[in-house]
Amino acid sequence: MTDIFVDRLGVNRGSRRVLDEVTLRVRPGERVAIVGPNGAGKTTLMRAILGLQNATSGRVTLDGEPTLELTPRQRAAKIAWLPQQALVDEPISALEFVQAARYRMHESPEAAKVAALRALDSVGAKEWVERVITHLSGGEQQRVALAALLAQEASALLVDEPANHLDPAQQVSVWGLLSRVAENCSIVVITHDINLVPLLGDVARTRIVALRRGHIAFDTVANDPALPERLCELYETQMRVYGQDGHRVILPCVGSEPCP
Amino acid sequence: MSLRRIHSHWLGRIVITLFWLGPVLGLLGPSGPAETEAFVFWQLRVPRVLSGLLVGGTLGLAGAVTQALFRNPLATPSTTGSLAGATVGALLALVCGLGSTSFGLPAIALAAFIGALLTSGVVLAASASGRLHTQDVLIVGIAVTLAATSAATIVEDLADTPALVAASRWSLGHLGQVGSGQVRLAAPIMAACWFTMLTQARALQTLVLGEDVAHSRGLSVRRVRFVSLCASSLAVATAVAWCGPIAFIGLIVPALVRLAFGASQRLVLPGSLLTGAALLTLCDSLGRLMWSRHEIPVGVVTAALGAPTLVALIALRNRHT
Repeated sequence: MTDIFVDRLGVNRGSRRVLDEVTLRVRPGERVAIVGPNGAGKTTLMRAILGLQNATSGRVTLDGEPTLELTPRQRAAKIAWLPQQALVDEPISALEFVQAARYRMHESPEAAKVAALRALDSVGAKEWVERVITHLSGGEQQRVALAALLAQEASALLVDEPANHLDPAQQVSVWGLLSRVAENCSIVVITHDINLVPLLGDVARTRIVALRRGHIAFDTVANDPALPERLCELYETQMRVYGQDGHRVILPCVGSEPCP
Repeated sequence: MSLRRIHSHWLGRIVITLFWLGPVLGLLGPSGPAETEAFVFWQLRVPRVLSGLLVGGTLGLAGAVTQALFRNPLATPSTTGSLAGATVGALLALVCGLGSTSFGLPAIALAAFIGALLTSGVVLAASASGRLHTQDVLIVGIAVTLAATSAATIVEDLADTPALVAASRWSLGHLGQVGSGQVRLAAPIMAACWFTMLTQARALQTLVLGEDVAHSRGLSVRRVRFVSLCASSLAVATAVAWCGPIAFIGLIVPALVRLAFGASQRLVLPGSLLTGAALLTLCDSLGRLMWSRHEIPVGVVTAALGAPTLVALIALRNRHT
């Protein structure tokens, strides 16, 4: 499993400082949810870990090796990525899409097909194997994208808003699947919905890392009693807590109620 | 899979199969005395059909590679500036009054080849840069094409009437100007380029996911871009140098193959190679046989057939998207 270390990372976009001295370690097997307001630098951080974003200062290492010094194939063995817009406009089948995730492997097309079918089967998407990906619904497409993530067989997963634009039932289903897909690896998920994070597994061990204006605002666990208050400060909006610890739901509220 | 989509698949496959009448028609012609007929058959028709297969295959395959690389169905082999560069080279050779041969090769072909390589070289240098995205390379290609077209206009302005007439004939595209010696010279270059392009199928299929996602899947986007553009530019430069610019094959063939066999690059690349080969030979045969008094240049036939075919392909594609 991959040890991800972000060491005093700084990223500029034009004159704007998107990330400033960000330090974060994701140890093998850890589950981390990254939260924060729009423009906080969450996706930039993920792209820097992937080697897609040049750093102005600091560095990212994967198992001790700087990510930019790894070949694309070596990097793909360590981390797999599910971006917000994972799918393509080309009329390729779900099977071809998942097969493409096997690029890092030196294997025959037949072996890639068997592995892709196995991945599609494990996320319950085997029946859409031959369907053109652009003809699938949003939920179905996201299942196929998760199958591709699984097919890459990387030891850490980086996932950017996996349930964006999905209905509530599909959101729960996709997060449940994500938890299963990540059973044997580390996972870092960017999300705006804090209430879905418990679906990743043990709340006492799932970390919540908050980014605000390019800095780490806080790094805590998902069952932290002070989490609603911290989210209140992070988003600069009032939050209300429903239920109790372990089964609590945190929602933003309208009006001028004080933070819990 | 909808019935309508299946119909489009089969329609595409039937049309592609009919293209293979081209090589057969290419070997046909009016009969004459036995000794003359044998000469015409072996020394004129066979090299012409072979050059049609080679050049058509090259344009079809290079078109498919360019479209996959730029993720743009309107990209063509000439996107890398090779066509415009070849035109400048050929025009310069005509204006400078170079002899019929230089270094044992036809002077116009040699100059066109060098022109195509020079312009493609600029685009390849841009592609080798790690700082540019693939869409930026496409823009460099368009800019180089515009610059070379402007240079061609200046050269044309300096040319006398006979040179202009010769340049105009060359620009129409003509397979008849390729002899068996030239086929032997061009075939190994094109075959090596075909092999290189076909080996990129898996990488180009991964690139369909988008540059960043493909990179995260383990693909070296810069390497694939450079290798694919090198092979397609060299193959197209060779083809254009011998036969002049031939339009539409690189544009419509990949679109037709995708309609008939789907978007998997493992089928699109070899399918475009074979379909391009058959289609160009068919267009050349039609140009030769359609009107007994005068041969219509193959570039004119491909343009005349290509424009309505492209519109029909877009209409068919839009029916099931």
